[in-house]
Amino acid sequence: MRATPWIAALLPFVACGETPPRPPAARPLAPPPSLAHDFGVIPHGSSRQHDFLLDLAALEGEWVALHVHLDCSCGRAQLLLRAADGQERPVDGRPSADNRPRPGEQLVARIVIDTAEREAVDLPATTSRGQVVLQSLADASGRHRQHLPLLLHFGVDAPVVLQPFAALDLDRVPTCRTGEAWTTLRGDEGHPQVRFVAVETSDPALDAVLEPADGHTLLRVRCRPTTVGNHRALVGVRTDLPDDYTVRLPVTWKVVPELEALPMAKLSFRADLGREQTQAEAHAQFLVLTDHDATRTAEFVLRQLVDDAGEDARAAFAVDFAPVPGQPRQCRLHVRYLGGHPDGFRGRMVIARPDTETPQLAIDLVAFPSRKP
Amino acid sequence: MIPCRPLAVAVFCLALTAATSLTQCTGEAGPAAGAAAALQPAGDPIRLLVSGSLLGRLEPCGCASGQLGGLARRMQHIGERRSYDLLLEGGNLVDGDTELDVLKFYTCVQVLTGMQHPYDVLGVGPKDLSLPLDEWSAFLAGAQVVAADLASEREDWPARPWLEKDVRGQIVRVTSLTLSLPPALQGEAAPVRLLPPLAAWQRAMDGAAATTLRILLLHGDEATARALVPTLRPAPDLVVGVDQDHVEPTPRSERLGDSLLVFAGIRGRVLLEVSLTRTAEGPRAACELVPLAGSKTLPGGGGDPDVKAVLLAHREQVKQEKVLERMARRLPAPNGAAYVGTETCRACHPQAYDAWSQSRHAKAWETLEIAEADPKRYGWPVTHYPDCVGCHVVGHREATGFVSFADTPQLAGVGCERCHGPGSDHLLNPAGNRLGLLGGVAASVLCVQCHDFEQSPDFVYAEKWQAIRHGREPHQQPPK
Repeated sequence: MRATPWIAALLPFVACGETPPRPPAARPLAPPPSLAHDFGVIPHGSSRQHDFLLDLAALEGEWVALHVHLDCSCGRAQLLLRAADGQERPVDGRPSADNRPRPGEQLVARIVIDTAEREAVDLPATTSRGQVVLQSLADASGRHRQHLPLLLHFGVDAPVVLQPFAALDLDRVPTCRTGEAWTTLRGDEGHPQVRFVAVETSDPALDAVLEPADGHTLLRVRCRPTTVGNHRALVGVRTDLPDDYTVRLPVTWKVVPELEALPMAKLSFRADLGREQTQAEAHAQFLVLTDHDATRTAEFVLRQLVDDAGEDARAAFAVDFAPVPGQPRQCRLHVRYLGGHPDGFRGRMVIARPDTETPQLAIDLVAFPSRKP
Repeated sequence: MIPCRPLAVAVFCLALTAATSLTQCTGEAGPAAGAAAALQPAGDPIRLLVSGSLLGRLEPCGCASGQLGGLARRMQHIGERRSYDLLLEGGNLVDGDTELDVLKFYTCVQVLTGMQHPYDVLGVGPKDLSLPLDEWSAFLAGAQVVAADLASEREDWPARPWLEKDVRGQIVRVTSLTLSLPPALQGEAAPVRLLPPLAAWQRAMDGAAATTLRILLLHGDEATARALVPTLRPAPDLVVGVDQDHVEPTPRSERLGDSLLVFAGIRGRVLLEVSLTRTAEGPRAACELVPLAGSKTLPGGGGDPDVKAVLLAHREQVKQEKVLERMARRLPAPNGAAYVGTETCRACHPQAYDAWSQSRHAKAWETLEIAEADPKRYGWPVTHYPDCVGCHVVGHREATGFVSFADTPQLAGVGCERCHGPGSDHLLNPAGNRLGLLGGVAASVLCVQCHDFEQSPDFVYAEKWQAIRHGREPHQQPPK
């Protein structure tokens, strides 16, 4: 196939599939100017759009555009076929002649950079990449696709400065506590007089308050733990800037039980199960237990140790608890095999506090027999 | 076997007894599958989260701002959504067979199968099988691993031909075809056999009801997928291609015979959400890309704190076990000569040295040290992590190359020999042993070994060359 000059220039960038490697150019050329666009500096909260007009007629053979990949997470891309009267129809991603421009139609790669979902921080002028994926109609296998590179230049200007964080992470929030985080807001040099007039959250478990402070506004966020697991919400801080500009901060947190085993509620090890382990052999068989409730001392006892059939297996293991220096809310749970299960063991331990049955912490316990050499 | 270490041993083979609603392929046969796809009553689409070819990218490396991906963000996303019916990982979790890859694989499996939202299915890729088989099997014991075209007599073989899950009354069967074996597992005596794909598919579909939704995780390139998928009977409803030429997932499914084809992308940067259902016209899928973007201001970009703790433990373990040093000097030097260090080059190439010393290449090691010292950026031992070090020094892993900063400080930073190759022979006989670029490739190709689309997203060779521009010394100029 004779490549047209501009696609030949692009080949160093776009080789894919099992296309035989081509000799690289001594100095690859930058993509053609028509496939680069400068969106300028985009005010945070708004979006900018650009339509790249793609003329595939310059390529030898019949090619269709399948889709567009963008590196930028705030970019969206759409392929359209635009008729002379402005009517547009989407390209559906199939390598089908239906997705070739009909007479009078133009192929358009519509790129939208939407900063609304981005954190409200300035982004200096940057370059992001994209690719339009092309496939020849003569290539039913898809093995000889070409990628047209796009270069997207843009920056983002947020009218407010959030320090130290433009997103809040409350980290791990035990069910017996509340989580709290804060950041500060003020106008940037172009908007020094901005006022933050109201705050709201998208999750009723999350409270947010604004507190005036010296030269800035303090945003304080507290969460009441609900379901165990990951959570995400948005805090919106309305300003008196034009267009009701609202600063949106994503807030994440993870609710964890008040009793925890780290890194997870499972302890597995491999050992010679034909005999009792020595202390040295078992030194690494431990988990770290945490009691997050600061109203009591962190003490633990073994309530139950059973195999998969529910039979008591305490005699097969020595279970000890040792304090962790400098970590009053934690202790180490050590397990040493004593014998009785030469072919392996699967079961579980139940840990609780000494003075009460609840809360309890179930920990899987698995012992594998050593492999024969 | 991985040597004993705190926590790592403690959670060895962690996924063994994880509770699951998946059933195993042990003869719970439903009605025989009909030749034609059975229609399903209209129901909720099955919501899948698809990924594959993580290739050891547990976290974005941090070289560039705005990098996507990472297990911590992935698991946080899954935890926040809570609405996926099936979590599918295609396989090729790692990209090599080094000590580092073993530890990465262990960490991946720990995160994907042993935490709050365990994956429903893990496929097996040829790269996974490059790992020592004992370790690979042990780490996956009890995990939800499928590989229809792999068979082994090993007692601890972890993969099953298929797995099924009942999703609100809709049975979904998932299987995987690996299609190739690494060289170490090829041959009559190998402990793993590769079955022909059509027979393997039949094996995986054996006993499946006609109404069962059929999902195939398929390794191999796109051409293989296009040739194979239309021949599979009964037709899969959805084929997830785990093809490393597809850097990002496909935003739309493509109909291939009676099946839908999507690709999972690589490195876990962008996940693919698929809503799958079967209609009178065949399977239908709506796809949505999930780019795993991080915060610009949160330390580490955010992510699930427990996964971050596991990853941090991994980094610390790599340092404690001196994996960087253990991986050093295992490969032959590119041209058979020995590395001599940039200062040695200076005597005869002062102009090139001056240009280099003013470039960021000269400060590449310092960049790592500064990043490591900044808790807001890393908070973990970057200078001991082979993936990071490899692009900031000369010749790590190669004979006479970088071992550690303490042992080989002369090879820290991206010095002359990183691009031109070891210089000892050239030093002895400059005219007879001229150095070009490593491998004789174009400079642009050499650069993207480190400055790839992810680590240097704005890298354009023609522009960046100006920052390191250097040429022949006066004594090297050809005679007029």
